[in-house]
Amino acid sequence: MKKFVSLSLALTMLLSLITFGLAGCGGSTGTSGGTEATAPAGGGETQQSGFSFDTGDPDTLKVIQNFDPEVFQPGNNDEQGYNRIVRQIYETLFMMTPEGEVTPWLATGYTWETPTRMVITLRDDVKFSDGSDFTAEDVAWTINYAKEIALPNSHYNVITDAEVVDPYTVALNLKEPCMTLAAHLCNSQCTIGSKKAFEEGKGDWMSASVVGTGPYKLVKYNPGDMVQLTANEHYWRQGEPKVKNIDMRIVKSNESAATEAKTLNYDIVIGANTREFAAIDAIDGVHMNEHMCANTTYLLLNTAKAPMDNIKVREAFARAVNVAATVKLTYGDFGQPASALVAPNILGRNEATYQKYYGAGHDVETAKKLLAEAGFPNGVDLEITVESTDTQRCDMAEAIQAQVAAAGINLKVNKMESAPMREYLGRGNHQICIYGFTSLTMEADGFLAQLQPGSAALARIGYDNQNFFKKYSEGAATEDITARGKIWEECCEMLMQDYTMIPVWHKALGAAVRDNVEGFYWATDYEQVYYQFISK
Amino acid sequence: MLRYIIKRLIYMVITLLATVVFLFTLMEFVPGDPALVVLGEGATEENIVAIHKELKLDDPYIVRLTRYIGNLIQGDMGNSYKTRQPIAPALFARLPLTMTIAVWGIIVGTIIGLIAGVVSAVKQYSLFDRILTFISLFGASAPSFWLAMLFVLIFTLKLGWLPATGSYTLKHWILPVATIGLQASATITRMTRSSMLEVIRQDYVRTARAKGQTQFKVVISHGLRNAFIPILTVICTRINGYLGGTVLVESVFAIPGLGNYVLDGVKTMDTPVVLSGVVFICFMCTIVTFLTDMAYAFIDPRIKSTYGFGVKRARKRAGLVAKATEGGNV
Repeated sequence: MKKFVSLSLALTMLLSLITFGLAGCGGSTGTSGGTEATAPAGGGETQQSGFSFDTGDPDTLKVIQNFDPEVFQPGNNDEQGYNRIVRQIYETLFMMTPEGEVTPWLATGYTWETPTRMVITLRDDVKFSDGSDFTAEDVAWTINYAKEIALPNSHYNVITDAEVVDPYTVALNLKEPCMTLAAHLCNSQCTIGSKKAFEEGKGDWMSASVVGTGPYKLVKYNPGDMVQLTANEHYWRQGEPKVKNIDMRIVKSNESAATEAKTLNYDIVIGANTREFAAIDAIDGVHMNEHMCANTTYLLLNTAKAPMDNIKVREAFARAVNVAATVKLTYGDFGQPASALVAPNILGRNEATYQKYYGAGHDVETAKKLLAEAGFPNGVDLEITVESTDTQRCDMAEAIQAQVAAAGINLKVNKMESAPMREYLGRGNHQICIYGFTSLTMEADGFLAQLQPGSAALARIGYDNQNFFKKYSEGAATEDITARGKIWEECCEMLMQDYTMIPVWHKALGAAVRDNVEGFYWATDYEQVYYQFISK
Repeated sequence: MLRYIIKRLIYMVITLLATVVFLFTLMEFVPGDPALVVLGEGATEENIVAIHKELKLDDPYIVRLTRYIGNLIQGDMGNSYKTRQPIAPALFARLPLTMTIAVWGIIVGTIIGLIAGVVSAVKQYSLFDRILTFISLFGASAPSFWLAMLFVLIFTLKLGWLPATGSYTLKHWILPVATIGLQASATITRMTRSSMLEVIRQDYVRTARAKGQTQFKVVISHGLRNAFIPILTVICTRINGYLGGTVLVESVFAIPGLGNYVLDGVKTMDTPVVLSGVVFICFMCTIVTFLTDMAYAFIDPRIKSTYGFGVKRARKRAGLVAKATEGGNV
């Protein structure tokens, strides 16, 4: 009896000790094994405290993000969520204003020495968070290194190499003209790292090499759990950041994020379920900040895959879909049903052209007639591929499945995980898929550039129209913005004329923001948030 | 006893090796090019070739398997395709969280399950037994994510007593541990009840009662101890399950455990993360199984005698009895 009780107690104590021993390893209250950023040479003290629970602390902004960065390397990931965190540490050469205009940031300006050589002059008063100077050497190294190790940054695809002209001038050599390159360089994937910190830290992108010119510097990262940032005391913009510290919790479940928004324990919550927006907005002390962005969700029709290779089948499908009803069902009043190929305020948007091809709207009889003309009088079997984890897109696919059935289209919904789906679509195995494109240069170019030969995105529509590619190149080489806008409109019309895609939803962004927080806004171009302008 | 430990350790190594080979082979059949995972949307043919070369993806299967096992033995679990950072630190950072949920969940579940199971068996068909049976059936059949969300709704949003997500203070752990504990207790209660019912009808329990031992001693010392082997098996199985299988609970409470890390790897087709994550979880499971096997040896006299544990003492005792009986009849 004694032995049995002793054994049970011993086992319990042993397990408890193991648990608490492990939990205590990292020195944090709950999560161990996290990264504490090393104190930069000449820099300030690193914050050692744990996660703050005091929303009343005016020096700490409490934020919920829905993405785990896992690493803090400039341009390591093309996800908006990643860059929303890392952009606070590193900065870009140019920045997009809330009005969608390109403005110099770490750069002071640029000139086109030739159509394929951009010369950028840099600010000479910028320092990295370790106190070292920001120079052309860092810019050239960041771009060349990203190309050398093939970081997933399509904005650099057009760049052959970057070269240092003098300490504050850098030249970018291009494969072909790209007059929107400055707008591409606004993208938070194109942030600049420190060459010195990379070399001294031996490429430790979790701690030692994480040195940027941004308003904040990394204090602590607990994988999958939280990121702590504190103000960069060497920051070049006077009076920023307005709030000294940021405690970012990583909450991937949009239901849990919505719950946290309702508890009022956080100043800003990003990633809450859109269906909970009204409920959150109804709570005193918090409001939803909603803003249209540059992203549109499309039904991409694979023109290279039978029977979608028949334009009449594609047009029939477009007629069978009820866009307005689909959006209402899926997103309610959040965002807008598509009214052009690209989102509002994007250069190259033309609603009249959209009306010409899609204006007739949902018309089952015409759809049936078109199918009969295409050789499918008894209907046709089609498949739509959608990302299984995106519940709203799954809902969208099921709504469309029900709508097109009336036209005799038997639509099978193929739900796949994100990465296998990317590959499946990249190989052009699908007939139809749901996918979003962002016009991240605030011109249709940001979206059209992704549909160029050799790209994975082009395989999604299986498009092989040489005139379209030529037209795009012509637009890319056109410096005059008005003329360029016209060319983008023509490119968009080609895509619509051939029924390569059906625009469905102009995306909006939403964040739950406490009423005492000021200065929060969504940067439209790449769904970015600049915490340096926020005060509380 | 040493023979028993060595034998179990050998089993452990063989199991791990077989798991590594099986998983590595399985991952070979997963469709998809890792280069596309690394390069993302902007992948070009030129970059794909470069990544294949860098990651040595074009080497024969056997070469890559040998290299992986060799690296694993040296503690190198490889780098993530997505972040290009070592996997081992990321796994070790998540281990304490998973361990906390699993261990505390099982401790809570065991305490509740054992008490409820024993009382339920001793008071068979009583009102108490029926209520406990109902609760345990509810606990076993309710999905963990539903229980978790129900707890959040009640204790966070309605009552405002406990935080909804996170793992920073004791208060943060109450809901996740309660969710796991309640689920675990259901199975343990059922197993304890049925195992105890079998044992308390045995002759030796009746003998103990006849000898005038107290009800508590009869139930715990003679009953529970002998009924404990299947219960321990259930507890071990549960711990192993929770080491990688608390994904839904981790998601609801935003706890970055091992399960979620591996699941993210699956979603992004980050093969090294999936492979090393699963191997790591298997390693943890084999350790738990090994510890359970050790516990069996302490509890079950048959294992003791088979492997000679305590044999000396038994022989000594037998010798003394023989000497005593030499003088007359016993």
